Amino acid sequence: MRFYIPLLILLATILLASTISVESQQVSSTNIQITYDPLAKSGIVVYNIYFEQPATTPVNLTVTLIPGSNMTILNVTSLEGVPLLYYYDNQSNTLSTLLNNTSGVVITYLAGDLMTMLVPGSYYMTLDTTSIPGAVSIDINIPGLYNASCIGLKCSTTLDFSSNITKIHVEGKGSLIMTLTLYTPSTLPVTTATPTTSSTTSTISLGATTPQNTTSTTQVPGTVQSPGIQISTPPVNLLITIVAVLLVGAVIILLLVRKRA
Amino acid sequence: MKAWLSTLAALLIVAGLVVSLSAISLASKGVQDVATNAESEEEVDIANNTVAVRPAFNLTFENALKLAYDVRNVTYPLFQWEISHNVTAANVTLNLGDKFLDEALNLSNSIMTRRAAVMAVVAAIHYSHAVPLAYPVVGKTIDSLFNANATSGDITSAVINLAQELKSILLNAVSIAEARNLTIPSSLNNITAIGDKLIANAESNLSAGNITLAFRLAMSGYHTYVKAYGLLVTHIFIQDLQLPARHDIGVFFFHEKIGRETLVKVFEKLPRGLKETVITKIEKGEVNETGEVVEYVREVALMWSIKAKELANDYIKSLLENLTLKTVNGSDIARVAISMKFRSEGEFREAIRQIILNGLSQNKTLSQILNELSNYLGNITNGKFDFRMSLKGKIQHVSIEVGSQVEVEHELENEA
Repeated sequence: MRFYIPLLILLATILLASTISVESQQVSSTNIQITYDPLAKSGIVVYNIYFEQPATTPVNLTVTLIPGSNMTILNVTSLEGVPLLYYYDNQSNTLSTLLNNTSGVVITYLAGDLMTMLVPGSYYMTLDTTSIPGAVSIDINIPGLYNASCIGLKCSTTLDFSSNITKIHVEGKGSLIMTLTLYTPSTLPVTTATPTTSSTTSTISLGATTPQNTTSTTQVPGTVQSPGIQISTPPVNLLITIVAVLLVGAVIILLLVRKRA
Repeated sequence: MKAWLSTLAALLIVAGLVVSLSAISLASKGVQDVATNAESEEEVDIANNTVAVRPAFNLTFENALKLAYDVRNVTYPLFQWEISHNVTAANVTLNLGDKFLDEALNLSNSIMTRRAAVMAVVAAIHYSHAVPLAYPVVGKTIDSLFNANATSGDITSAVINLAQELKSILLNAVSIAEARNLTIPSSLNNITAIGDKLIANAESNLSAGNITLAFRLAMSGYHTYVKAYGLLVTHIFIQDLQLPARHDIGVFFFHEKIGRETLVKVFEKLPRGLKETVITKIEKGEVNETGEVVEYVREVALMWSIKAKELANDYIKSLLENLTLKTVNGSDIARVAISMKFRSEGEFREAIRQIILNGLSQNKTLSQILNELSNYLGNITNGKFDFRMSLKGKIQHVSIEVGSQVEVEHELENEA
């Protein structure tokens, strides 16, 4: 996994050198905070963009937003908290703003469908940070507990059992494929004691945060055919018929007895 | 004879009474089951009790059991492949699915048929998680090759091979699904074809020595096959449970069980000013789910953004005014023309300010306002001063692009 990160950084460096003007070197780092609930399919994205030094000449900043549905820009401010005028083009999904005398920008927006369902209870998101100038970090907060898997970039995942939040930290440039799957305990939930402490796991590749169970002795059966499904539906109608027949029989016999008498 | 007939009649009446009592007992049990089915309150907690599986649709045990077996059979070869690549989570997940299925079968013999049905759905959900567990296969393979000092080309080649193996398992799964009389989603072939194209491109780029691109294409191809598998499995849920086809069928099963503390933490990233209002709303218990909070944020954000826009307009007015004056002062032609037209710099500044304010009040873009300023300055200098041209070098352009993997696929689609 680690081998291609330098390759991607090299590629990014070549791309940056060839396509982005010298002024863009002012961006020292970009941190993207994503708070997203895959089950509610909505969340908040915050871009924190830091300049190497406060801009002394006006900067026209154009930012590609992580795409989603029903996007609502909450605000765009300087790092000092001054609201900035912005223009959001939903066709190109870019936001542009003009700023001066500030050391950075904060962009906050609401978005739905940042992740896509893979199968019920599992969701994925792809991000390419290759063309972001400066250092790049992404922090993802998810309400609920999930096993997180990352390919392409190093991920560090923390499952906070006390507040039921999954935190994922990603750094670097490259193509990230991140998958979240509802937390799987190693035993049946009905018999599992609820953990009360936080657990932190660093992963280079995915899967390290998934509970490991090497002691499982359950025999894994091969391909199974569904059995003939026999549902224990009460044969109420049959019983009613029997009762009716028996009672009618009894009445006939009683009538015969009376007649003979 | 008479005595015999009387005895027979008495026996028949007794038998009738016994049978009718049994019927009443069984009928009441049936009513109880129907009542349980009708209320659909039955739920099974998963994910450390943070999520409840509570099917919000008419669920029968037969359908749920068929689903569990169908999903198990279609994902079983994938589980086996993952286990063979030492993905222990695959073994855990398969076993967990089996435990839920056993539980479902045990409960089916009792009166708790609704719970049995939900258990079978939970089993199917766990079996379906074989699909995301395909990612650790590629992750572990890359890690082990990297640790063995393999070359980038070798690692890329390994990813290509894994993608081809995965595709083969996918095709086998399609055959299994067909053998079980399940229909295959029509888009599966298209997605698989995109995966094929990505892998073919990865191979050609690897041969040409473009290893970084080859690697990205190989990963994207692998991801595409995983997505295709996901589509196949999701389609089984839709068929067996007779759900409406939509991109996220999770809404029919999952109910979040997160508390206020979690919600507060989730929304603490909101901008100051907005955050306090939202958190107060959560703490009062007036919004209890993420979706509800987001909708509340949308409502409040509109009013909140109007206030922010006033401040933003002040900021941009000052910025554009200073920028214009600075640019004009850098041009002798402009300065002379302005000094001839205006009695003071203050008068000129006021004229500029009005153009900016008019533009802002009409919600014009920055580019449009700059064009209006350019036209105005062009007019007062008889076209001798090109404001837009003079701005070049006075505004820096910074671009931050966040891409998505999908773009690679689209690029290839466009190539075709």
